[in-house]
Amino acid sequence: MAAPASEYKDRQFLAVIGDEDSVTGLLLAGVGHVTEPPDSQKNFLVVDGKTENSTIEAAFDNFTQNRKDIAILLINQHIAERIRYRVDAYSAAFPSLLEIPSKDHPYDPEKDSVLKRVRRLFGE
Amino acid sequence: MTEIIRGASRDKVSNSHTPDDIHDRLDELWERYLGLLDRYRVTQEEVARCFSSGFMSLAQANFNSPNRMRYGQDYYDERMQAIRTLSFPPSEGKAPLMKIASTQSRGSSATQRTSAEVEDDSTTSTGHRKSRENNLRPLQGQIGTDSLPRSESTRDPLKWFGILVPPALRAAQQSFETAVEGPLVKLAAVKSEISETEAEIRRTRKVMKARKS
Repeated sequence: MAAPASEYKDRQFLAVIGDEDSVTGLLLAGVGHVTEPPDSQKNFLVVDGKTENSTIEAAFDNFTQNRKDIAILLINQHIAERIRYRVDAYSAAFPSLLEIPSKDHPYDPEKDSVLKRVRRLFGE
Repeated sequence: MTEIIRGASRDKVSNSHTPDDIHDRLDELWERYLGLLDRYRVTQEEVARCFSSGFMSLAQANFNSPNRMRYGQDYYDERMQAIRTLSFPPSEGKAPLMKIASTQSRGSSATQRTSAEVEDDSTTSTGHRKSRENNLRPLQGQIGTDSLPRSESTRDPLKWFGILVPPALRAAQQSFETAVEGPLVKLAAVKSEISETEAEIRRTRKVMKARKS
């Protein structure tokens, strides 16, 4: 069933969970947004070696469940691997979740949750 | 391929159809599904190309930067406002049509691109820049930079890193802009179509099983 228009009509931003270069690049493209104070919520999370998985999960939950203004969530594939169980279980139409490559980790179709679903469908 | 994505017949299979109808419908859905998967793969490659070019330029800018300045999160503007956003114009199909709208402060026009327009582009044989130039379609009523409010003219993220930024950083920005305006929106649209088709395949299979039993 197609998603009702009410589910996506107010969604306008792209959100990013990625390493510093990926986030910097996408912010240079003009997708970055910080909401008005006092909330001042960002639509991106820079992940480095010190970032806990719980922080990534919290950002993932925030962008996919709490924020109603996110239309597309971009996540580096190697970061998606760190919360793979959450990414694979995510099936909502909005925000649309896309796995993207990073500087040090090229895109691997074998790991992509979309193509994993395809394998399941063929195996049914 | 575009027709497969946008114009596929969407008649629901019901119990009133003959088994042959249901088989035909399922074949048609599989055909569409495989076409979409191919489209998804090709679009991911486009994203990878744009990103790779962007990362290369960013690395070059960092390597050549004076005082070992790294173009990264230390310089982000904490009050940044998006200049590229998505909207959903009414569409005939089930899957929503996505449109990327940009308020460009550097150029002289605001531009809008829809996922359908993006799908029609040929990006395989031309470079990013050429493809981008061909793709950008100015709005009917162009917005000049002079008419933009002052806040609009200072929203270019490049300005976070200073007034005189290296050409490599500009090149990185262009690559990522190309990715956002083209393949990323297209990828989201194709993914949405894939989900729709999956659901329809499952429904059709159920009807087929119900008729067998």
